[in-house]
Amino acid sequence: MTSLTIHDILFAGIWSFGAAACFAFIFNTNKSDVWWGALFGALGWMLYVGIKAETESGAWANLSGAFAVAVCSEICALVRRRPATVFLVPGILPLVPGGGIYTMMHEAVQANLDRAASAGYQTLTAAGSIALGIAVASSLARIAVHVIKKHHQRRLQRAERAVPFADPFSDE
Amino acid sequence: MDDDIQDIAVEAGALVLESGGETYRSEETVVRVAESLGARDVHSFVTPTVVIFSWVNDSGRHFMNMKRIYSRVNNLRKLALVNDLSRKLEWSGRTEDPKHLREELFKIENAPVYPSWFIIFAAAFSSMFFTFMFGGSFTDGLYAFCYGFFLRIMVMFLERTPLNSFIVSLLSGSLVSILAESSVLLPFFIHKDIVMIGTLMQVVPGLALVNAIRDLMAGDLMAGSARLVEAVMIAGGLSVGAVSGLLMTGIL
Repeated sequence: MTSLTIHDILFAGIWSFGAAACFAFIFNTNKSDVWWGALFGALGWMLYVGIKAETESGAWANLSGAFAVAVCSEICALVRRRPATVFLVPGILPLVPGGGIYTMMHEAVQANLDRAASAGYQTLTAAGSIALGIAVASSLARIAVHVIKKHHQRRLQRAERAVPFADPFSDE
Repeated sequence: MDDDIQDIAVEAGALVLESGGETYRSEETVVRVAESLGARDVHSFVTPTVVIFSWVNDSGRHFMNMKRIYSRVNNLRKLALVNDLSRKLEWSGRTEDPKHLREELFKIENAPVYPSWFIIFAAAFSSMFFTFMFGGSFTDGLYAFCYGFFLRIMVMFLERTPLNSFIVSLLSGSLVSILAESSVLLPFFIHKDIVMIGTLMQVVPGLALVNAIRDLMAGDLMAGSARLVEAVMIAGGLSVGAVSGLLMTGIL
């Protein structure tokens, strides 16, 4: 177990917040949406750093980071009425195992095939656990949205006679 | 009226796909727009390269239209705007005004983008923050800032050419790698691998990975696997490019 101070985690959060926010601007995200994506990015990376130091398991850390980011993004998407992708893409980015791929190729070129294979397996595990985290969260969100929609439909059916025809652009 | 439905629905679906949306979102948008304009029995099929939909008009005639998608850029603002429009249409039911809808779509298509210098600086700062995140020192951050700056200029230039994403990532990987290897000529000591990884984080296939998983989970197996291949291709290009500098210094 490596020692990890609160100071380290705080700085990990600050740097990943900045990185995710700047990255969201590259994708031309609205200014009001950028902050949420960046916040989730910081949350995910802080979880990753903390859990990795505690358990020394990269897969577990990636899984919990990605799951937290994805769940927050789905909730935020429901509340702010945006596609979840808007928050999920910058949020998940700090976790993407870019370093692992680089290490793998680097070692392979220098003919350290054992180390290349180990880095490759680590990268695959990391990518797989991130995918699993997003997959579980987005499936949960689909179920939740389905339930909410059913509820809404039932309520609308009950109140249908009272609602007049609404022009879609009338609020502008 | 029939022509309006054809044009507008396929245009809306293409807009979602071109700005980086998921496949199911594109299909839903096509169906909602067409239904709000009065089409019946609407079915749509979307893959990362094509939008197809079929429908029946009030007098029972069958129609079908498709659009081939050539370029997909990442523009999350447009995606959010189209989603807003599609939501509005879902809640308000049928509209009889295709002209208005066409104007709305035109407005979304020409939604404001951040100026190029702003995006270049944002990319440079994000490279710097990623380097700090991976444990780089202050000097590493400054180097990553400069490399990220040049990398984004090159990527923005390459995105205007018809090169595919594999070549673009191969070239960006080799640019950063060559810059990092040649930094030994400069008087400051930097952690080469941290700087390189931090700089390259701005071109890793994050969006492709996220969209692939979400598509697979939504049941669009074809689109999901296509996007997964795209993500693997980008990652492969980056990693091959990233060792090119090392190989070149080995030769020299």
